[in-house]
Amino acid sequence: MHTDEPLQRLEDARALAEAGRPHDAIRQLRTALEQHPRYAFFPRAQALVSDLKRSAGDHLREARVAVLGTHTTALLMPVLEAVCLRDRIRVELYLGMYGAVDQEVLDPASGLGTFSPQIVFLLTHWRDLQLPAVVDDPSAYVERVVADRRALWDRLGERFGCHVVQCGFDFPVEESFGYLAGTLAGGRTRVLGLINDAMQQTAPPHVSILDAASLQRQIGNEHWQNATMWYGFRQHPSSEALPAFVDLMSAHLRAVLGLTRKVLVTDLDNTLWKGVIGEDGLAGIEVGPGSPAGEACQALQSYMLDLKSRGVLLAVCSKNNPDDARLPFEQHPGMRLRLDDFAAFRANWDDKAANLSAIARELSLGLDSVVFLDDNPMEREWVRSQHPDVVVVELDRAPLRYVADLDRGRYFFSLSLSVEDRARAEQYRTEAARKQLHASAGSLETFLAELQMEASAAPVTSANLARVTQLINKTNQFNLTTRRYTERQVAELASAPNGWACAFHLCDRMGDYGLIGVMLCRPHSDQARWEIDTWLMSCRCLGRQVERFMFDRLVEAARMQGIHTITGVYRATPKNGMVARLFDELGFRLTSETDDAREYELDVPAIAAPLASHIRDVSGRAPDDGLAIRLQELPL
Amino acid sequence: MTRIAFTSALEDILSVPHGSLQHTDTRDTVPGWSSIVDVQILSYISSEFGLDPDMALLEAESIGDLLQVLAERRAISD
Repeated sequence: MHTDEPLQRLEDARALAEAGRPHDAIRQLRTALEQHPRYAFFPRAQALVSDLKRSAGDHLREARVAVLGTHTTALLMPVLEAVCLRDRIRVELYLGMYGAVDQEVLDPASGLGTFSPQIVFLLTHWRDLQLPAVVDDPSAYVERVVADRRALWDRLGERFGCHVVQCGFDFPVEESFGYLAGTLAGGRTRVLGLINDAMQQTAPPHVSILDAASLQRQIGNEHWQNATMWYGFRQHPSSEALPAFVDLMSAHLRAVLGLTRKVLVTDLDNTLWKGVIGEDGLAGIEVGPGSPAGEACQALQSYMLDLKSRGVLLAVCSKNNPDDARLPFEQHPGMRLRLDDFAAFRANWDDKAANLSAIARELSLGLDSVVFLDDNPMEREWVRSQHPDVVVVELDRAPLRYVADLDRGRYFFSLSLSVEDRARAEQYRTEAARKQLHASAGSLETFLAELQMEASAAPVTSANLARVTQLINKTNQFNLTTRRYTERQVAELASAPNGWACAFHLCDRMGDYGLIGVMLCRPHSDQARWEIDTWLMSCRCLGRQVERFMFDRLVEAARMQGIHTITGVYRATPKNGMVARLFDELGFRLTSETDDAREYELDVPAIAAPLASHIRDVSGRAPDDGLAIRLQELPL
Repeated sequence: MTRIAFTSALEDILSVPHGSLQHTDTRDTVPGWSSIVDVQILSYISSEFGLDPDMALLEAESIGDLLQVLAERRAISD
């Protein structure tokens, strides 16, 4: 990539916006931002970003984000706004008063209180601690610093139910004690590291730690801070480091908002191996030891295998003869990836944009879950033009930097790893077996019966809270209200007296789907009434009548708790049309209707019999029943 | 980078129309040129030209001053 390319794209975007083509302008701008431009790009782009943010349509996720810093944070604003537009987030930003973090958090009348953030960044750095070169009692010191942090985190959680991203401490660039700062028990470098470790280990679920120290190492001390800008303006980190710093902030934002990508779709020729299999043959392609390009391609495959092990799905989209495309996976000794590592494999001569749509359908995922990797700039541009929701990775011309290019985007950054994440690839493989069974079953009834499904309903507890929150934040299709919550907010809802919060687990004879559905009901002032706040289900178990099972458990619980009426609302989004009529189908009565919402009511005593006839209820035998502590028993 | 290109970049940063800035323009004549914009301009210069902002840059008051300092450091040309 030429260093001026992002700037050229910025000019193109400006021209497109002026010509009344905002969506094309956004595409140009996103491509420029995927190329990770240096800081100079951002102040020039800020006016255009503000304009385009307004015309980007309703497919952006809304987020109210507060940035509280002990130093100048104003320079972050244009960078964060632009990066958020790139990442499909319409961010509303609040910048706290300079150096007044405690006041903002603790004062009930602060601007932060009026803003009421969903996510708060606490930006601190090593100078804030005024740490001496050697601390007398390092354990006590670390404990005190972390206790102060925890008090702020707790207060923020109590006031706003928000997620907190705490910036970890970086290290002094100039260190008078040099080597000793890391070796002496109370040495400054050592103590800062201990503080970071302690924050990481003790952070409650609504807090994540932004690893500034790693970023500092990656960027290098020379570029991390600028003495003139620090002493002159209290600017930290340097403008040179700022884009990478904001990239890391945005990775936390995406993870909290459930925007982490789920599938990596890769090209083959000159991407997974060097060369063209259809022309060069098995002996002519390079992958593995023997050439720098071959080693780099093998390293990319190893990186992808690691992604797979943490739940990222892999898929192939290649213009190739199918048999040629499979050959290296079956016979080349340098290949790390095997055919069964892929959840979908499309090698043909069709248009790649169409193939990506087909892959997304096959995996029951939206295109906004997809990251696309292809060495060919024309294919990348084509996919961008056809699928604005797909992230298309900008790759270097040679494969040597492919891993770095893919890693830099942090597309799969997540804050927790659930059992479901680890098992995902296996789940998609069993799904393929289910599809075969479906094809041979003849009728839906026979298919459902042959699946031998078992499901359970269990309370939302400390054991499943992370997964429940993850589902709430990333489920788009089967989601009646598409309300997004932090872990803390879910915990509060789940622990509300007289409400009902339930997590659903499904398995069948092919395998275990894991935790796949959530229902949250709020109590009403009329004690015989519940309001369905959230009802969602993973797209992996659509078409199994699981929604009926969930409904049956809802009615059962309502009866047990003396609830006579359940209200629910369908809030339309561009993605949840599949559940537009769910309440009607289940016997709810429509009570009011507007363009984007329909409200319903259910007369509980009038519901006759369970609706899910193909799913055996094994509630009480779910994996986390009995182990978990109910949230009502936990201090929030 | 040329003087015109640099002036155009400043116009982006100051959110004023291209071609509108004059050499004599200062904080007093350009609405929206705040102290934060000062930091943005210096950071832009640092990022674009790899120049560490020195006292001459910190003390530049007008667009003409900035152009002169950058021309002296051969960061911009005619």
